[in-house]
Amino acid sequence: MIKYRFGYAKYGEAKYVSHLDLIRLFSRSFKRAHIPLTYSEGFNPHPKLAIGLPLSVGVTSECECMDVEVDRELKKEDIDALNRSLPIGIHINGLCEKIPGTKKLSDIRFAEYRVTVVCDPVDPEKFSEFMSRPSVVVEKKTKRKTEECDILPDIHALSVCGITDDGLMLTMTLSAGPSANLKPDLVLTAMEKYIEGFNPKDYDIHRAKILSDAGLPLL
Amino acid sequence: MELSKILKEVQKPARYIGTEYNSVHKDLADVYIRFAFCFPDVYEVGMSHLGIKILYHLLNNEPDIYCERVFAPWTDMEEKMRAHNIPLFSLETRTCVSDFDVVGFTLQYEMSYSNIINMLDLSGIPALASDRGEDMPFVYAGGPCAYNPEPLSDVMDFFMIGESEEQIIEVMNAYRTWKKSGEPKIKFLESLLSIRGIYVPRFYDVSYNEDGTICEMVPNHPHAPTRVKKQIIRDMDACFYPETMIVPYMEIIHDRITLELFRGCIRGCRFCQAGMIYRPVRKRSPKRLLELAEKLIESTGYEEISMSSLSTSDYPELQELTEGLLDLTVQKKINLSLPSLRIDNFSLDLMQKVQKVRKSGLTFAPEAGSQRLRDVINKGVNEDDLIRSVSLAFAGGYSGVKLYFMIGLPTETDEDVKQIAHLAHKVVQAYRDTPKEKRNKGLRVTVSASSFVPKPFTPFQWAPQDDIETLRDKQHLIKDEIRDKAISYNYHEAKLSVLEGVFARGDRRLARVLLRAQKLGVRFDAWQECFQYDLWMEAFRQEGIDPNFYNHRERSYDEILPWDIIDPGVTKEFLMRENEKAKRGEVTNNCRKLCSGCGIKQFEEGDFCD
Repeated sequence: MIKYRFGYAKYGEAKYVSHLDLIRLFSRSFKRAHIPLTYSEGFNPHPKLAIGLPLSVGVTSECECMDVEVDRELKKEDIDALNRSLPIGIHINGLCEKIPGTKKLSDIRFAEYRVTVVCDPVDPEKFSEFMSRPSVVVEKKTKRKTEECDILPDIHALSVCGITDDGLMLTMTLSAGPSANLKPDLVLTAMEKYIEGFNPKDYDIHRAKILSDAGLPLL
Repeated sequence: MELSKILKEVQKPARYIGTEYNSVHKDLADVYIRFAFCFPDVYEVGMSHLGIKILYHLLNNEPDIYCERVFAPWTDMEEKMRAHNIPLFSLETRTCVSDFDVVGFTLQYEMSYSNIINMLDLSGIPALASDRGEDMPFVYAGGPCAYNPEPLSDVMDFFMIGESEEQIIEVMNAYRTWKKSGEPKIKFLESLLSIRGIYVPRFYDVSYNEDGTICEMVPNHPHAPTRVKKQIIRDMDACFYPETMIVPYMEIIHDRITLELFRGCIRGCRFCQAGMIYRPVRKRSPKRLLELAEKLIESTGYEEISMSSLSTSDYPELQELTEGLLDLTVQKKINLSLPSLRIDNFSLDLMQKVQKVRKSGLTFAPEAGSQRLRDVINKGVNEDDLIRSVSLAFAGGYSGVKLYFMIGLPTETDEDVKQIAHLAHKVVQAYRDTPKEKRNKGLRVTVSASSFVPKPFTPFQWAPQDDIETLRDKQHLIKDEIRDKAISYNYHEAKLSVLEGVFARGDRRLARVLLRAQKLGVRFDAWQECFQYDLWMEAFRQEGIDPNFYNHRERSYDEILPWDIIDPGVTKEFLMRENEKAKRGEVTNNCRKLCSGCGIKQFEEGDFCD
């Protein structure tokens, strides 16, 4: 049994594939590519496959990662075979065998997103003002209830990185991982609430980086 | 852009994306015929259907044909599509359905008919064939419900009756020729008249008697056959079967490889339409099935494979096949999922070997509570068989049993109905009679009662259907008779069966009701949470059509039935004979024991029955 970390991108229509569906998709793709996954023991064996950070439905990414246990050593041809076995929109773009102890999936702390917003022009200065607020309170829905909470501590960086014909592009670094997780949609909702004249008509979210505690990429 | 925006706002957007593994993507420049395969229900239901898997790959094997899939959008998606003026589109290329050459619907259950009208409406295609101009696609239907095509005959340009694997290629050839000719649409429909199994409703005129029954149904075209003979596949091993299947992103109802063992059924249950219309029995060989299984496992990566047929226990080489499949699935580390089998030592042993089956539930379908009524419906099961089977199962460690029954069967009395509860009690007793050290704890007996709907081409096609009140009384009668906490009881909404009955045995005049009901807002009638009985009744009222005319009348043998236009191979004489035997409570042997002379042997040259 050898543990590998795979890096992959999710784009195009495949962004609508949910987290749970993606796990099933990968285990079938490994089968099609003849890569023998290690299965758990027991009554209902399942492949040992862990996705680093769930990606919301509708979000694209170039930096996803998962840890997979395999029964034999992998070669480059295996990755080619796997890529041929994946549907359009999911592509393996990295592989590493020896995963440093400081880069466990549980060490994931931050994610960087690029958000393309369709909206009327807004003064970029307003976004700096937004970040200088003492607090950013929004309604956050959990499974059981909706509560007011301050999301500012989980916004680590936010800036306008480009102006487009029909709106603008933002980058934001947010808390991610097992201890705290903030979704970019909620940041947009907050900005809509606090930034006057900012009314997104549509937006596309793309995850650009997943970072560890030490601010290092996972792959 | 609009579509990508609404996909973010709907539930389960994976229903609408169409880039699944093994989906077919062609260069449109190489395509001459564009075919939209429409399933009138939501994605996860439609994708579970075997017919679509077969025909999708069969058609796409033709280089100049591109078959794409279309499903009914769920209500949230439909709302957004209508709000943004997005027409119904195919999954593969997102082409509007009205831009296709041929639009085919599969008719799997009557309760999907309103979705057909709604899908045409969403596509901007007029629902009535007579309203569609030269610029509109041909719209046709096939599948089991097409054996009574009449309720949809004003909607469809034509129907394909019977098994399509060879027929659809003939139709496509005719289409190619017609398209090259540049002639008006009617010429294509005329050219179809020489193909077996094609019914073109506009080439027939129907007149009615004063009492509303059919007076005459006659061809108005010199080449239209007086009866349309169904098409069948003669050699199942040689017949096309896909070696690959689309692997959906989302979980669908039957999320596994399906191996079709055989068509037809030797049993001859008198309520069962499938058992009549799919005759004769024709099987694939174990060798062919194992070869297909291996290829499908390779090409899909699925973790489960299942066997499909009307009665898998009747597959003659079941042992050889299951042994082969077990070897294969162990080697490939996937699961073999078993259909419900007749319980005996062989099947229990098999279930033991297939570890995936949890020892919780086994399903039995006695269909009727009393022996008298089981003889009436020719369900060749007696109480001793059932008790022996459940006792074997209990001793083998199973503690859950599901029992399926129907209520509203012909000749049924209150006593027959009460016997359903009594039979369930006897099953409980069989559990208590099983030694404690052998049986598992936690007995659960589930009794499920569905409402019988008489279907065309069955011996009960002339029978009256119970009305809602009678069905409800019977449902409660069972409830009152059940006196054991280990038994749980459920039944279906009786109102659903009214509509199923009307469209199962209806005629041409019903198209008006369908169109009206769609305008009033009915959708997804097979889904309890969507079914709107009152809207349907309003549609009947507005169109001046009485649903009781179709359901509650006993039809006489000399009445002309709307589906008489179709020749399914079994003769009317056979069905009458069976109906008379039913009234006398006489059983008919299964086909392997003794040929019952249903007519199928004369229907097709050569002896076909396996």
